[in-house]
Amino acid sequence: MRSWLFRLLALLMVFGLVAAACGNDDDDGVQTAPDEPAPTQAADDGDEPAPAPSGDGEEDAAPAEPSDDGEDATPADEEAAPAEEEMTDACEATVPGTEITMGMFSETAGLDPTVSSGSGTTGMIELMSLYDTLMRYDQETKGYVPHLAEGVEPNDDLTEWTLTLRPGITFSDGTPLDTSVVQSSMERFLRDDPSVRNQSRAFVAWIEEYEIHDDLTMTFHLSRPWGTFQYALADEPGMMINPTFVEANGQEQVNLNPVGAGLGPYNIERYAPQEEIVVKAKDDYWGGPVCIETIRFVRIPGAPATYEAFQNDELDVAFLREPRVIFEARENGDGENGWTFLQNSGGTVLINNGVRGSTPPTTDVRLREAIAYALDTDVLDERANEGTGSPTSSMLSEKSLFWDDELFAPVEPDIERARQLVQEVKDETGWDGSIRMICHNAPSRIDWAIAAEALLEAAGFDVDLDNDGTVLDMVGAVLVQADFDLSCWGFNVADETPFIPLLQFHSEASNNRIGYNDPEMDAALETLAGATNNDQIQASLAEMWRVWRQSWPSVIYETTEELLIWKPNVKGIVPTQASGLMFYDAYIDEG
Amino acid sequence: MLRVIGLKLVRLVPVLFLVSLATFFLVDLIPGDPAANMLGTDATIEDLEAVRKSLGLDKPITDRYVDWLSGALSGDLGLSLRSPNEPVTDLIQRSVGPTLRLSAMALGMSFTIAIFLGVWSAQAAGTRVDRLVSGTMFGFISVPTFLAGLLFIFFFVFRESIPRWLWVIGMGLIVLRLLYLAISRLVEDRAHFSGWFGYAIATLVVAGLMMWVFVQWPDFPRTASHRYDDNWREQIRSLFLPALALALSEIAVFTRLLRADMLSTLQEQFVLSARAKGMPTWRILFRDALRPSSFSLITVAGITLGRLIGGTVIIETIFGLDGLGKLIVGTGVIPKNYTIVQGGVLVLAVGYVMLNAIIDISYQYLDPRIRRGRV
Repeated sequence: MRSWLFRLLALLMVFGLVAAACGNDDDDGVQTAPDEPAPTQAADDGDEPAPAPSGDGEEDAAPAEPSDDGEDATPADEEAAPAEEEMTDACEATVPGTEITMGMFSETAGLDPTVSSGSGTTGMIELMSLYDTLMRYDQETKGYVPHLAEGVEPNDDLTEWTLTLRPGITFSDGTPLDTSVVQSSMERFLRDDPSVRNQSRAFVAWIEEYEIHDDLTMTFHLSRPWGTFQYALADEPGMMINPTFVEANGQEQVNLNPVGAGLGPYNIERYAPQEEIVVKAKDDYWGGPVCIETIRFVRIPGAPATYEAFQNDELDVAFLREPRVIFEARENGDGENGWTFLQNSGGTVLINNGVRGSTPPTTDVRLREAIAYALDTDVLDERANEGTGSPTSSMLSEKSLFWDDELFAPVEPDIERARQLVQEVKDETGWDGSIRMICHNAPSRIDWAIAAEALLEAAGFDVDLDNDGTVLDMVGAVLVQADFDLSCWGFNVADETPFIPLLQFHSEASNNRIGYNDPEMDAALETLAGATNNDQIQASLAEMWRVWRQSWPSVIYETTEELLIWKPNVKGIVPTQASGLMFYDAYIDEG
Repeated sequence: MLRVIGLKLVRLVPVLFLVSLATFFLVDLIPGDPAANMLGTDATIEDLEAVRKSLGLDKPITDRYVDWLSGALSGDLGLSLRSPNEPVTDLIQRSVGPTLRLSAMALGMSFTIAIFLGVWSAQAAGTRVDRLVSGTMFGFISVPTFLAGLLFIFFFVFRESIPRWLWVIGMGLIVLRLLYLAISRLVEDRAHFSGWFGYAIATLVVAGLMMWVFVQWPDFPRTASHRYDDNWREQIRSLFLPALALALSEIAVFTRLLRADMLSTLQEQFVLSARAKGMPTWRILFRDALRPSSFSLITVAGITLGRLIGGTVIIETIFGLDGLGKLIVGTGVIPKNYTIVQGGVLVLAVGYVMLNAIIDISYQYLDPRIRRGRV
């Protein structure tokens, strides 16, 4: 009797539990946070209207780069609309309660454009939301388009650029955007203050004179020809700072709490370094309504954790730079909503060519060439990234806008040739084959360095590998002590501005950290500086690559890819230069 | 009492001085240059020199220590060497809250579970229940914190149906056991109301809890974010997994400790006397035996809390929580940001020593013999 009663009751209990459990499917999906955005007024289409002509000679831009992004590309030859019409029609006013969170690659050094180091990896995206830029690089047309400016025109020898500002733009306190603001904003990069660390100061210093014609027109007189000066106006120097704010609050507050200091669509709401940056939409943005009320920029340590948070809907936008994670994201279809930024020569073996009078064995060009032949980039990628990276020994990626099979042919690995060159140097000079290589201790770099050591030793080198230290140690050894033969490095040559990062190979460049000196390379760089369109840039790069393969300043082993992904319901994000994103046109499509 | 507290505070001074001295010189031994870290790979030698000078890194280490100490004595822990060069006190203030909440939650979970399991295990010493609890606790101790964190992320965040149904199955077994007991008592002695009614109530309570948790099962976040600082429910949801990962090994230690002390206490004469008087078991266990058995537990808990506050760096990193551990190691030690390391370690040392002083004082309340100076 007891047994039957017990079994019956137990059965009823289990049945009741299962029935109750099955009745609750409502919360199985993504949890709705208390502050989840209210529905937005979605536009008919989420795509950015065609960009305006820049008037800067970029009309003959090459076709859009191959990418796995999911945006509908705007045809480059389509008639462009006026810049004002670029702004969103996705909402009539900021939609209360809308919020997106973006997981950043690293933390910005501050909110002042002169302090932050200047790419999407380190603050560019946050700063663009606060300040906007005079020009904007359009990733669709691969050319520059006006943003705060109305246009910019060069003279014939590319040493003078005349800027015209868009009329009627004011800061929140009523201070108008005029040519004096442009001058003061740019001159901030040259002030005598150790906190000014943005590398743009190097090329702002090329502006010898600001000739102001009127409130809206001025001419920059440069100390050297520069065919893509628009780059500077689309980078941090193109971010305008309200002089009234600086006068009232001091330079330091631009870095810490720049409320009302910029012309971007957002104002700073909370800046907690090493924690988060929260920006709030302006209701008086010059470009019209800003749809998303709040953007939160956070940093989650490590690409896997960042992507997991994206998968778990804790992030709406994520910045990924780890090949394995990028591969996984693409496998999962998450790369369809996003943009891939290429950093050509992102993985490079930096070779000491004799910097600051040092005499490492690698001053002999044959050894540098031997290293290039010894390093099989596919093997290195397999070891470091499980074959998910973008290995190449060419200075450009095959996905680059400027890629050409013949002009930028990669170096084919040839271990026999490498051995021959190494032996030749040993026989001639009595060198014993020893060479020092310093890398840092990130797990993937440790794997990479061990594989590189094996490949070099197979060619006859005797490698003394130091990969115990952090990036900090490696940077110190290279920059401060110049105590290295080989080092794990990267040049990050983006398609929109190959000239600036490659300038370090100029014999007179202040950031020439390897002691490289080749007049042919100097000449190629000067040609690159004067290139005004993509055909000319491609030709200059091809010449550089030809010279490179003669003098082997360093050895390239991979292109770094940066994948910025966002949720399908986030629309209107505008990718721009230096791995930057702009949110002025962004909205949440609840449909 | 005031004299005791005063003496303990005086003892802090040499401890903190030695801690600050050792930390400063040890941090200086870490290879690398903070200026190079700040400027990155694009810096020139001139940039590096300028930054080193602006941060005072060109001064001898003794001068830097004296400068820091004089500031610290007036409550100024200096500025972070990393841009935007915030005051270290602000950074610590911001980081200490999440770490304290995480540590307190981990400790609270450990205490709650360990007291229940420790007492139950001691009461049922030598039985299958005791062996099951002991075996489980050994399992808990064997799981490193970082692995527990990663496993919890995998199961609770990305495979949430597995722990959800495991909960139902585990609690369902308890419910069935209670139901069995209730029915057994009812069939055996229907007239003795208190015998079966207690089990029936317990069955309903546990079944209700099981159902409620199942229905309310939260979507645990991958990261323990600060964004919920104003909402305690969201905070608990956000901190639950990292706290559980931290608590896992502490539960095991506390349970083992309490079980051993309880076993000893349960052999005491006063327990025998209480049993002889017919006191209910729960009263003997929780009111009479638990208090004298909790000395070791409280001592270890105090040390654990101090350790958790300074040692949550791995869990904070895994869950992306910007706490004190991550601040000291991630922002301080790795980039050689010595002002943060100094300030952070100083605050930890103060907290640790104060906590142990409080524990010493608490003994006097727990045991009248100590208060009266007999022990």
